Amino acid sequence: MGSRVIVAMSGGVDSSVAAAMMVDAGHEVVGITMSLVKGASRCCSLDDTEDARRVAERLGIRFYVANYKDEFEEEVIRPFAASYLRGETPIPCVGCNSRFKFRYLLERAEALGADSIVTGHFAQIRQNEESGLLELYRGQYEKKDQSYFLFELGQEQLRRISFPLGEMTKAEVREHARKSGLTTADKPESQEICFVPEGHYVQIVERYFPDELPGRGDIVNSAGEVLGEHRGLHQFTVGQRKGLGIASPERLYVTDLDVENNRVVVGDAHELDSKEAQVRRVNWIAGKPPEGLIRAQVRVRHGHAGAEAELQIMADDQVRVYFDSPVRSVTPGQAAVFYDGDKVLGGGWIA
Amino acid sequence: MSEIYLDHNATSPVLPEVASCMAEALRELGGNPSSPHQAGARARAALEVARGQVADFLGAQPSEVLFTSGATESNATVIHSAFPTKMGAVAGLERRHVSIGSADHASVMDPVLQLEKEGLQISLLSVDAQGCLSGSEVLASLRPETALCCFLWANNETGVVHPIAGLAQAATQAVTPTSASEPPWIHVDAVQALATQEIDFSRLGVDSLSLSAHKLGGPKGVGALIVKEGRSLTPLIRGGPQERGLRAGTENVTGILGMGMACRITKERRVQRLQEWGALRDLLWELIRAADPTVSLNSNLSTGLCNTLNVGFAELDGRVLVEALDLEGVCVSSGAACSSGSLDPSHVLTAMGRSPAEARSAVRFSLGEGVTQDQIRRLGELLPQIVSRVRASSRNGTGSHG
Repeated sequence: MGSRVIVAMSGGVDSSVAAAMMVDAGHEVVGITMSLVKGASRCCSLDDTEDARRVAERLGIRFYVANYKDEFEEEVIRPFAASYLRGETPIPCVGCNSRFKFRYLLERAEALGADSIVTGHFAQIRQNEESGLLELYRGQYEKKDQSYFLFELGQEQLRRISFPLGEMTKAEVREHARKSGLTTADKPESQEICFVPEGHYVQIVERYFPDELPGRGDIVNSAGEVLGEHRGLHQFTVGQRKGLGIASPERLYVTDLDVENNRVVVGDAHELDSKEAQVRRVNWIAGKPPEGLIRAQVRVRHGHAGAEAELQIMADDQVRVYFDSPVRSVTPGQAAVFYDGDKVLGGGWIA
Repeated sequence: MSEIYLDHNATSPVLPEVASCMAEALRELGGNPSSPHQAGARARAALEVARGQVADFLGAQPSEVLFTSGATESNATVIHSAFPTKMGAVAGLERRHVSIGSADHASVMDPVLQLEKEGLQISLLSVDAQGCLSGSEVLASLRPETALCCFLWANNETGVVHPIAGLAQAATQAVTPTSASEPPWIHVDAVQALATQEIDFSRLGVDSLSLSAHKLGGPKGVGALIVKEGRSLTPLIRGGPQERGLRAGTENVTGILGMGMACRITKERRVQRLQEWGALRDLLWELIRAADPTVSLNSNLSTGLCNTLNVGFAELDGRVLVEALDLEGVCVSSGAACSSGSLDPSHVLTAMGRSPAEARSAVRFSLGEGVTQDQIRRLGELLPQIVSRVRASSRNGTGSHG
């Protein structure tokens, strides 16, 4: 029997197929579903856990449920809610990956005597033959690429991770699932943030910080003219167009959330454009920043194709990004991920 | 390598004799015990033989044995009978107080806590560091309004054994009922005591006793409630004359026969077990302590169940150790099987004063039929390496973002 590996099984088709592929490759596979969200949620619900369990039974592998609900609440949900109070638009999936799948689950793997952990991410890990360093690449099929969420990984982690779906298309994954007789073959995609019901993040902010909610304030334009009133800054995100409650001949967008003065700043689409961005808490996949002048394609949110830019290294974990041409909605709280073609150089958080 | 099963307190695998008896029952006893014809009569007769076996095992009268689906139903029936709520009217009952132990099983705690919302008054009795109730606290909790007092004979997680006869006697004499004519109903959940303790219901001084067949090598899903004559039950399930109208539904003949057989065998082997299992348990403790001097004991080796060893492994998560052992073919548990999915540390261990971290570090080894010295020694050899691996992993975070 091959080495023992842990597969993070969400109950979805991707991780099911990842598990099946590891079984086919002759490994001793242990499936683990991480139970992360308290109460009812689409993510890690009992149904998903049962789906994962059924797949594990079908594959004839051991299966455990690992409970990290307390940690998830403190390290993902609460910071997510707090982020809105700072006028940011958070992206919790990065921390969920780097702290939960690739930290706690790695610890679990170590405890269980497993060499590595396997997930159903669409991304690739390759070793640079010259430097010996491990490199992170986009999934082969751009449509499903999930490398944006993985920029916080380091060499130690990459050494013990494998992404068997990195070169597959979604259709191939589903086909593989059908051939392996997995019940999850036709399961729909999960899209939104798993613990936010129907995108209603405001409820989460209000639940976690009932005493710190910003009160009513002004909606102003960039010139400071008051155009209306808002009922709490946390109910707005940069780039938002609907629900402003202002009658205006031109389309207005939220261009800034001024926490200090409790003001929502609105303007036309061009006012959303940025020529540069400050990026903090930067992680470099190689462990240190590249030397010299760095050209990169920078993605400022998951759905963003990437914009050509020059990176100025201010400190090992701080970068100033100069875009070649203005980029729309560079939003504080989102991640800026730096690519060299398909290779992820690193990334950090937009300030 | 064959599996080492040390989770007999979660359930004890069906004894071969029980399996044959049940297989034969499935083949031969096709009738409904309530039918007047021969096939029904045969099933009825077999059922009554099993009732006799259960009664004989427990020192009870056959007429005192009510078959149920297990101790959870038996406990619920007692609570329902003591507080027959009609539309949330517990508050209106003259006697609306209950005393239960803080380390009791969920099948007693949950229904009682549910009734608290309807006005039930509860005394949640504390346990000491060993998990024992204090006799004086039990007595102090009782009052004229006390309708029910529940004791757990032996704790499933730690194996602590309560002196039930003494507690029952004291409790019965403590209360001088005023308006009520009888002393409080004394109920004991004997599930975990069945396999090794001597049980004589006729001299125990309790009003009722619960059991589940699967803890003594019988099948799952069947059990009984033993009730002293004079205590009247309010059925949970109505809709038929079975079990004197106290538990409707066609009897689980096969399961009941299996339970009868398990009782018979347990009666025969009990005394021998005390010595055999106790020796294996002591050997296991010796090996564990030799492998890891930092362990702590959550069981009492002299007064507790001879098959139960609950050990705290400092600075690790017992649930992870359970998985790591499982991958090497050893089945143990980090607490009650029914709450192993739960996030909260064991309420039993925290009631005993253990910190949440200490409670989370606990692993229960519970022995039973089929466990050999060879298996215990093999486990002793495996443990040091696995424990240190699990402990190391929880000490050193491996992520790059500490």
